[in-house]
Amino acid sequence: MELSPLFISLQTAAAATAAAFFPGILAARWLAHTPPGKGKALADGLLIMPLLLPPTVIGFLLLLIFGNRGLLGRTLSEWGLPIVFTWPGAVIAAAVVTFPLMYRTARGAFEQVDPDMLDAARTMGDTEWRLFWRILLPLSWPGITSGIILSFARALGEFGATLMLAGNIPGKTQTMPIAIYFAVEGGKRDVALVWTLIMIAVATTIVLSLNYWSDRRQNFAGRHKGK
Amino acid sequence: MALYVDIEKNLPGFKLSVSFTAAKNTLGLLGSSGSGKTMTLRCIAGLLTPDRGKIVLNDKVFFDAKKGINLPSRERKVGYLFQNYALFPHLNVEQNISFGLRHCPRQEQSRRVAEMLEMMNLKGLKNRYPRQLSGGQQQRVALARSLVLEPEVLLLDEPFSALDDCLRDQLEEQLRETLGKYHGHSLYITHNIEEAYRICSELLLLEEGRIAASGPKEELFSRPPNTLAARLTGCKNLSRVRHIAHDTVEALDWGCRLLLPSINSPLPSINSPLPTKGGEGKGEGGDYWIGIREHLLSFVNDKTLTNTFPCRAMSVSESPHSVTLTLRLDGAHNPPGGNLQAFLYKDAWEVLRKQPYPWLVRFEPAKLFLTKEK
Repeated sequence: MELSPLFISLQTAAAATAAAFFPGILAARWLAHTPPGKGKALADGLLIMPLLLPPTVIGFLLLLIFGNRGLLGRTLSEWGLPIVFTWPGAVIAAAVVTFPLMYRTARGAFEQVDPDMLDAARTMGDTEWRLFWRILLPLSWPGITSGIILSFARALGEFGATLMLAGNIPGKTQTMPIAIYFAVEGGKRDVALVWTLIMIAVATTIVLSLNYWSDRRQNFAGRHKGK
Repeated sequence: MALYVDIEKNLPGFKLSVSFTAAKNTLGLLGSSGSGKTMTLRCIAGLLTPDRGKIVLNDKVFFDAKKGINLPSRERKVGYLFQNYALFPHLNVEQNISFGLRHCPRQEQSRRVAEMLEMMNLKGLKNRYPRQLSGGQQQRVALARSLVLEPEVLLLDEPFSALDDCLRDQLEEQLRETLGKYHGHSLYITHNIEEAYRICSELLLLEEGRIAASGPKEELFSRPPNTLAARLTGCKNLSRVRHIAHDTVEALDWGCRLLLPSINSPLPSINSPLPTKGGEGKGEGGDYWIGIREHLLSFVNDKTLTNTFPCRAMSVSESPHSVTLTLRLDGAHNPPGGNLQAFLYKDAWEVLRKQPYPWLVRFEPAKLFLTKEK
């Protein structure tokens, strides 16, 4: 049995999580402490859209953007960086689908931080950027870690958008969920079963590590409250 | 050398409009919650931007709406002690204190931190984390963290509200000592009247975003310039008055006629013109009020004394060492605003409670004050 779908899945999920991380926490930072209003609601709606739309819709939209007829796709192709039916395509699909999870968990974690802490840092001479690194990020780190784990899990299970943008090329873009689908379709039920068991094992590991981190988070919250 | 503040800020349902100058000592901002105290401090610290006005410290303009100046908080060099101290939980005591000293060379950093640890009595605690400290220790760390930056203004937002009563008294003394050594301006917020009186030399009374009165504390307590100031300084007994004779008024809410202190009395406000009989509407008085603090009402046995009236208690509220009585003068039918409150220590109360009604309550003329409506 070819093991490449396992490695492709792990690599794709890791790369997609990394790609969603920075835009995710920047968007979270931007919206976490903006006062509520119409603009905020609209921005939030747009940012979590990939979570609400069916993955096939995302896949189709990505095809429109990155396909040979899409402006971005054509330019990238000319530079020798085709996206459709390539591994970067799989990463982009998974990153887009994953982004809302990263953004939302990070925002939740930022909103938990006592705003007085940030104000205290401001009166002690910190710039916004500096207090983001010195106060906000360390204090919300446990929450952000669970965001990373959740995003990784979501990216690992990504099927629809990935299939539409990156296709099913064994050894290149065939991830585990896609391998399962095509194994069942080709009548190889035993192969599908093995992949299924591997997926379950990976998912269990993720759930366990998530619980471990949320325990850590509770400890931290206890420390936070002070007297 | 002064802190000048004249600002306005509109929020939905609330308007802050304050203007004052603070000299080099501890100015207290006294007011109930929601009166705009914290908002004023936040505007000074640059954590909130006023809509209009000006904030100037010595020669440094913090904020000037007309000139478009709004110095960011980090450049104002203002120390801020938050209500819950806002210590950084992921940093230990030493790191918390040195947080703002990033720009100093290493050696100077450690010298100044060591100095602060010594001064605030925190030497053995420098490696502890905030959650491992008691409330009082947390407060000292927070204070050290501000003072180490040698701020020109120190803003203290109800520093004792997070502590229980036992700890409070002890820490209050320490804080008074620290503030005594501090050479900048300090602004102290509290809703506790007695705390404000003990810690501050000048007071600013705030109510609904406006300044009700300001001045040296002794003056505000003995001669509140208006009824709002009287209430904010804790005076429970206030009544509208009508002028009867040159030295007599009728207290409309209490239902009695009171002889005022003589012209030579220490109450200058007595010289200001009173509304004459029937001058205000249908003799309702209105603009002037008379007041007496609850602990200054006395109980006597001689009914020929001036300003002495028979009364009875409507209710009694007992505290561990004192009693607060709600009184009504005999013959006063349903006083509109009007039961009186008297404060007695337990020993006096034990004597009084054995006497039959009516009791005799006395408004000693020198203890009365006249004040204006606000």
